[in-house]
Amino acid sequence: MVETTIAKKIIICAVIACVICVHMPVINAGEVDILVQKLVDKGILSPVEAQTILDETKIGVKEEIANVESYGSPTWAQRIALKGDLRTRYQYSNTDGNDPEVRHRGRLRLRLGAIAKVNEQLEVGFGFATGENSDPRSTNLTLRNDFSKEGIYLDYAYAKYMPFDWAEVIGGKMKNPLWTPSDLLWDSDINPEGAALNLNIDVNENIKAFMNNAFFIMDESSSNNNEPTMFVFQPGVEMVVDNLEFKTAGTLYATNDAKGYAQDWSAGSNNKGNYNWICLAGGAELGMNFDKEGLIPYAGIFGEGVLNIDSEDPGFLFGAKIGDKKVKTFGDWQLKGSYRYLERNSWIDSYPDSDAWGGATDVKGLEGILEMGLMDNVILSLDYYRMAAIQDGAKEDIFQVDVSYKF
Amino acid sequence: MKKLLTFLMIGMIVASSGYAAEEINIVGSTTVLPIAQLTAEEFMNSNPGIEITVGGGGSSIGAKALVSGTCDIADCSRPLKDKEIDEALAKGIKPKPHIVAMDGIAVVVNKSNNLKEISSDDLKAIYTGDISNWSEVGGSDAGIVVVSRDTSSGTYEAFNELALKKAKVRPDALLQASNKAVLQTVVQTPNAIGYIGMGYLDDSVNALVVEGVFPTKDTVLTKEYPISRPLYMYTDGEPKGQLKKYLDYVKSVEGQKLVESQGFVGIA
Repeated sequence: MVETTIAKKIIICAVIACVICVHMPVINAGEVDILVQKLVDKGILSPVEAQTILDETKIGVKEEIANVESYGSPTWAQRIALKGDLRTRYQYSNTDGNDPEVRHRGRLRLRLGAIAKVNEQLEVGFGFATGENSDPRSTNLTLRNDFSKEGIYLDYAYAKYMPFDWAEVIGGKMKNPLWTPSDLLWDSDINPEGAALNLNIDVNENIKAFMNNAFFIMDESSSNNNEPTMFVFQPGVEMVVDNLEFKTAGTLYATNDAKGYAQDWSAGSNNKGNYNWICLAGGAELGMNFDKEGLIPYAGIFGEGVLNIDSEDPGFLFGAKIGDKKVKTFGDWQLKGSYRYLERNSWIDSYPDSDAWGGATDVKGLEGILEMGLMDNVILSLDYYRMAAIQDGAKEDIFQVDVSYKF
Repeated sequence: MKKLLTFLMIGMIVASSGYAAEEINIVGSTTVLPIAQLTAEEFMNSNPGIEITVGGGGSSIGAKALVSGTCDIADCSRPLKDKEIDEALAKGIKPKPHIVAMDGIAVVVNKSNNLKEISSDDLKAIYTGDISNWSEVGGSDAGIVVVSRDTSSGTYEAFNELALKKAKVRPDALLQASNKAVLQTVVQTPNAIGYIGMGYLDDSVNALVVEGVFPTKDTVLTKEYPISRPLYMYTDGEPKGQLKKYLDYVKSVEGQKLVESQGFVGIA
């Protein structure tokens, strides 16, 4: 009798599975629920058996959908993921000093990138971006010149080898492999060239340790065998304890043959002939996650500092942010404010945020950003910079209104 | 000679590996934790060659560990979320649910509170802030102190879905990190209301009848009690070898006795 009942249940489960598989594209979860509930009501299935069938069905259907999606596209397309964004911007700037200037500009930025899976351990990434020239710190196009056609540049192209879950080797022109809590030292548009080795170790459930190592080629010259290069070592740790998140890293930047070298995209504020670039930097970010549905889901503070050991010039930035941790959709928001102080020879003047005093060093000032989600993947951003030269006190105000569309 | 040495070395390696204890790593829900700990302990006693390590952290941590392949069993006090299933499938992991027990989430009040039962609507209204005085639900004239779990808890997610229909908990609710902490707060706070897994229910608090049903073994097993839920152990695909043996043990009559000894409802 017992065997008959078990056999009956097995047959019923098999029938349900077949019905779901055959009619998977048209059947919905609600219909399965009703079917299973009727079998429970009739005493054929126990509530636990019914729940198991529902859970397994859900996973099975998702697996089928994933397979159908992947079968429906060519093999080469399955290996490539595309992403990109368009940003439209109004920018007001008011600069005083020797050459005072007030400007109103319309600008836009388009980026399109792809990650192609070569095999299970190797990927290739590449991306293109707009730009008025090959400036590594700007992908903006200013609206001008009687609707002239504009240029697209190679933004990055790299190969990434991942022999283990905890290690990756990157070579080429890559997304910045270093972690920084702000753009005090590295403009977010910069994609360094060279090689990197990133190591990530899970110490336990709450703590991760990482070590980013990089060798960057800063320049190359046919007439000079002593091209400037940079070695970077960045050990760090990331902790999550309940609602609290903390991440910190120390960084050693050591350049070779960079003393006195005139870089193509220098902002002109360093005394290049006088100092080597051996810099110690450190950054940290502390955040607290609150109720995701509450008014303030996240609040955090962050800071970064740098010291050029040769010139003994320091630089630092500290700030705070509240709102959503990331702004992605309607109703999300984030308010962020920071203060920076970067002495003339504390850091290489080709790399800091280009919107803060033209990306030069010898700068101090405030930045405030309000980001709001307008709809899914559409973000409004209001960014205000109040910067000044440390030595001569000349000031610059920049106000940017951005709408970004991510896809 | 060289071949002989090679065979000998391989033989030594194989032989030495045979002595190594087989390990099963379990991570996840703090609600399922006592079940995993007790069954693992008993299973290891009768299977000395197997080493089972059991950790908590919450259902989300268990799901992450399953997706990243860092555990053999993920304990969850809720079914995996769509996003977690998608992430697992994308990594070639097919989550296989094993219901190991049923649990009722008991709504508890302080011993001094005379309230005996509550409707689902009133319970939701208390937790969302629409009702803030016991007199509004037939109790004495006193403000209600709402105690809830933090949002990373599987118990919170189950209560939020089953009792609150995904409504937001009032912002002034006292958030606690464990069932024990909720129980302790309700014991010490005369006008408090909280919710805990049935396994943690004892005489120090009063459990309320919800929608006319008291949380008992029968009402939870049949899901007649409205805030009841299955407790899961997830594996990557069908379990094999010692992993299957352990899960069969948990679901056996003997294993389910241990489940019931922890205050949960057995499924055998």
